[in-house]
Amino acid sequence: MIVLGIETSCDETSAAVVDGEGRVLSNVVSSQMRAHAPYGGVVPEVAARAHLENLPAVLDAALERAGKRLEDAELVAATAGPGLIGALLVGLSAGRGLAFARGLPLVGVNHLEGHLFSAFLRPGGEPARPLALPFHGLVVSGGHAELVRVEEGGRIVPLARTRDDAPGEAFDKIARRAGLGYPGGPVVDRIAQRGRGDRFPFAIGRSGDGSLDFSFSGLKTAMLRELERRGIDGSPLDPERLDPELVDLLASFQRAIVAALLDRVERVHAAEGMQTLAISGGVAANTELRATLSAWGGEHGVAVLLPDRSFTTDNAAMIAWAGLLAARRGAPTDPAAAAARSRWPLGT
Amino acid sequence: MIVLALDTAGPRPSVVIRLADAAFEEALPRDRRASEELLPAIRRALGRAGIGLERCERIAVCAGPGSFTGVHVGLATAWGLSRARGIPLEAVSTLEALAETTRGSGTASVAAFLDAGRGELVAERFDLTGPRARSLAPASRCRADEASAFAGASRVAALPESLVAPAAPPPPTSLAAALAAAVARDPGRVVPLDRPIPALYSRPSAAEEKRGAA
Repeated sequence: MIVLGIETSCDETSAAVVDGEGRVLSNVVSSQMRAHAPYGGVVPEVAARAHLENLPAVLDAALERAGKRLEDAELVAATAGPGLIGALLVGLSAGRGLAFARGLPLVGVNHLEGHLFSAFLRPGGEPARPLALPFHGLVVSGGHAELVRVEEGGRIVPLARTRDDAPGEAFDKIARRAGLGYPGGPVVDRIAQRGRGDRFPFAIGRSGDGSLDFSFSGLKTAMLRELERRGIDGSPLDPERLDPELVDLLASFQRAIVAALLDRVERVHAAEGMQTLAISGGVAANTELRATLSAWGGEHGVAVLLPDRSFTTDNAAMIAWAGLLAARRGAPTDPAAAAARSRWPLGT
Repeated sequence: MIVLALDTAGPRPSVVIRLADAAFEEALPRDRRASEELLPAIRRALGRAGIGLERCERIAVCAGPGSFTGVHVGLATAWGLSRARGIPLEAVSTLEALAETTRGSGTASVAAFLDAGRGELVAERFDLTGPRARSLAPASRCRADEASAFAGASRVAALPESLVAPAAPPPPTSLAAALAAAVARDPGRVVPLDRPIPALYSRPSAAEEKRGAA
């Protein structure tokens, strides 16, 4: 089985070829970061235009690197949501056209489901890790924080999601205010490695109603106040030559985000037990999160799966893989019927 | 030549299969549902024409100006169909397709107008004496009260008709039907399938305009 994946939900144009055992034969990602940088964030209209421009070359490169031709594809998997509707429609329309013309099945893939199963993919052309159902999944990115249970039959049960900011979004906002540029996650991660994360304890957001939902806006506001108090106003700073107190402050901020994520994982483990925890999304690249959750898993006998860093940001390999799994579970595969959805919560 | 023509850019979207001199047309809804209805409509048109997609010798698509999402859906779908079957693809200005709707009415030149949003029109004049409409100058934006001066002695074609005053006569055919007929009569320049998919916009994106003004 050869699956062609297409991802255009936000600001990465990506195409990938994955086989029936989950071997990633190619995974080409063209980032539009430079196109959006002058605007200080992703502009939906600019994103849609750029996808239309980038897609032909990205698709050709994915096929070429996999040593495949379009005629070899047996399934097309294209992201159908959630995401920017104009951006989604470019990749999904192209995928529908390709599949329809070749008489192939097409799965419209939930982008978050793509992340969820990405922890099972391995780099270097290795087959995917065996899917250990049931498992728990933690999807953490610039737009999402979701903790779910994936049941024996593949049904996804949402357990917690963020009520306000996503963790990646909090990293971005703090980094911008600290004058450290965009995206914020990688630069804060690097700085935090030489800081003391226990120096400035921040409170972890918990809802009063006993819900497991995440909240990062209180933490973000507290951190913004700390920056303000120190006269930090967003003027560019050199990440390698920061005031040691600011280094510790950023490390403490990151520590609080990791602690909030670990808190919910622990509570779910206490309530229903976990065998496997698959972590995914852009924030899954964070060094402290990876180390903390791996150590926690080791202490509690939970297998913690961490995706290769190449699969943490938006990419079409995870879409191809999730599309194949969805097709095997009996998801609809008529290319003419796949519709784009800007909002599409996991498990619906 | 058997032609599949797609228009999701203009205000009355449709798809057409043109086979010999017969046109099999399927109308599409105007809003975002056009994207969901596009492939089913192509399937129905092919069914009525009694052929498979692989029999099509050319795919033609309205590449804008027009509905932002519609332009992208039409182009991306047409590109996918074309790339998958190696069928040559023509991406044609929506204004040119509009000009082609007036062919046979006895006029040698036509001024085509579409809505450019924000109270403006996007306009282009074409010469119709050859087998394909030939642009007389690149498309430009104007206000509604400038339309008749822009048109001069040319016949006026506008969608919607009330875009100009007095209202233009209704086009005798849809944009997709006129485009399919034009391409069948005289196939034009083909889009390279390994290059950026060429959309035509009536104006820069709002973000780009704002940044340009800042």
